Amino acid sequence: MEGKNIHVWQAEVLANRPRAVGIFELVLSCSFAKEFGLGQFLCLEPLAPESVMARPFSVYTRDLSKGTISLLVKVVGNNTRRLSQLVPGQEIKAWGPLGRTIRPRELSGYDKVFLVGGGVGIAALSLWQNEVFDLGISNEVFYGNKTGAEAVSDLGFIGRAPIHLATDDGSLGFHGLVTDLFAQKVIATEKTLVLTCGPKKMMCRIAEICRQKNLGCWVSLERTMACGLGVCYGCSIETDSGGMQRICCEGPVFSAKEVSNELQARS
Amino acid sequence: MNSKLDLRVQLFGIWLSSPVIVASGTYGTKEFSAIRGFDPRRLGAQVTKGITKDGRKGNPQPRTVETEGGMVNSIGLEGQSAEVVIKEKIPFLAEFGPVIVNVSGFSVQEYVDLAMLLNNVAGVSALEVNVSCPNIHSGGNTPFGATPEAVAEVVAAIRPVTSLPLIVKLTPNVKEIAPIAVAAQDAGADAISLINTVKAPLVGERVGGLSGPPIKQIALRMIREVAEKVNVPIIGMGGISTLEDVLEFLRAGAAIVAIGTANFRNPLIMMELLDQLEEFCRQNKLADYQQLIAFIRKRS
Repeated sequence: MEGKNIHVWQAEVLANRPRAVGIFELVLSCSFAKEFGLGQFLCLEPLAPESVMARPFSVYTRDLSKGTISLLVKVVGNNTRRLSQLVPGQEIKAWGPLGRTIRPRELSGYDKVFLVGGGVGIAALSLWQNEVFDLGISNEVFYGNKTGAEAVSDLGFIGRAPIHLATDDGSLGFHGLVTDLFAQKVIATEKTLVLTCGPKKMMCRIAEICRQKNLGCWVSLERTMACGLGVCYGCSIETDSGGMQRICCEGPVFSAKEVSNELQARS
Repeated sequence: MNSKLDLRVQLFGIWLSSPVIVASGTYGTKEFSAIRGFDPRRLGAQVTKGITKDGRKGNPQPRTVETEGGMVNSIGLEGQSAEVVIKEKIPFLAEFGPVIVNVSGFSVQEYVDLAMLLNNVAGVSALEVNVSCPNIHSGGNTPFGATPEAVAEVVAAIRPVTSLPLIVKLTPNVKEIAPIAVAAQDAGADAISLINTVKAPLVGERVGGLSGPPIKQIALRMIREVAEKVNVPIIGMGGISTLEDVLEFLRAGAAIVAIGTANFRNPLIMMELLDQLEEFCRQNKLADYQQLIAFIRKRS
């Protein structure tokens, strides 16, 4: 029988700071932060009383000595607005770790890793970058936003990797899509891996570039989840091989070539 | 400490450890048993997600949408075949108590086949016959649960091929619920589950099933109407999320209750509701389930 590896806890809000226009970094107490593996996520209870579904978030940073984790919250609706208004001392129910863990040894065969984040999707790449860095694998980050004001300026991994910035309006870094910047800059090595998280359209394009250049590509997917635990099947997708996979359980990280239909899906 | 509180309930010949179970499709024994602080054995029974004979990939995305106070789903019964569920899942579930298998079919024959497959399977305590899923269709656009005749046909066809108790889960998407419940009972149902989700828009022209607090009053109305007309026990469900809701459903005539959508915003809600129900009993000096029911129905 499997162990009891999912915690449900009343997380104390330790800090909640604006990091860019409409984006907050929420720091929460989490005494078992080390149990979050690569690719895993957590759910927060919805704060709006009229909401009934769990809210999934990536772990952005963690501090094992202090027992904290942080999340990047982009204000898009009633619940994220309430999250952005939490103040230190308040509590919120959280549960995790959720999703499939990627073992560090799955990375060990690669000699170069590119991390491509779009918007708040950058949050999912931060722990990856730390792991890749610690494994001594050369890595570079691509980070795209609509405008410079929406870009988190003090990313947790700044200084540990070259960061290539792109904005649609040219207000910060490359003027244009991060996917175009990536296509220009990427130089494949013997064993290159590309990890990406962001808008589906962006991930789809990155996966396409990787396919053309014959690079390994992993995508971190998201779908509306009701439970995050694998029981409601609300986030199931059909993979290219025809099987059904729950993003919250078998994912959220998939090999791009397994999920190209999902990456191209409009709905 | 008072004398030991005993909330066991006997339904259709089976002892349930408590009057709280789970609404099919909102819980997995394996998944929830991995949660610290969650003890599946405290639930009256382990209720499976709806299974079909051959298994299904389910409906396309999007499958869920949140609405004001609730949610609409159109999952479409994604799941493995009955054969795989019987072989790989039931033995594990049975470690945690009675197992109720929720079954769905696209034809009367499919329900019969499922009932035969599940009959005599070790660990299975009852079948919950879902004649009400709004997201799959029996050829036409109406579920079997839409008319007394169709419900009677399904139940009467299953009854002779299994010795398991039959719980018939009805749809609220009908004009009159009581005649349908009576038809189910007369055809051999041992219990009635009320209610499944309420038909509502999902996205675009697609429809799905609305669940959560917005359907609670519909569920209560239907439970009262059915409780007046049938003798078999009712499993009450539909938007229950607080202890007050649990008591209200029991008062309305439900023998036990099932928790569904509330599991999503708090995976420990069923444990918390059981704690609160036990506390309620202690405060009111109620020693067992019978006393609890007598107490809350007397107060109404």
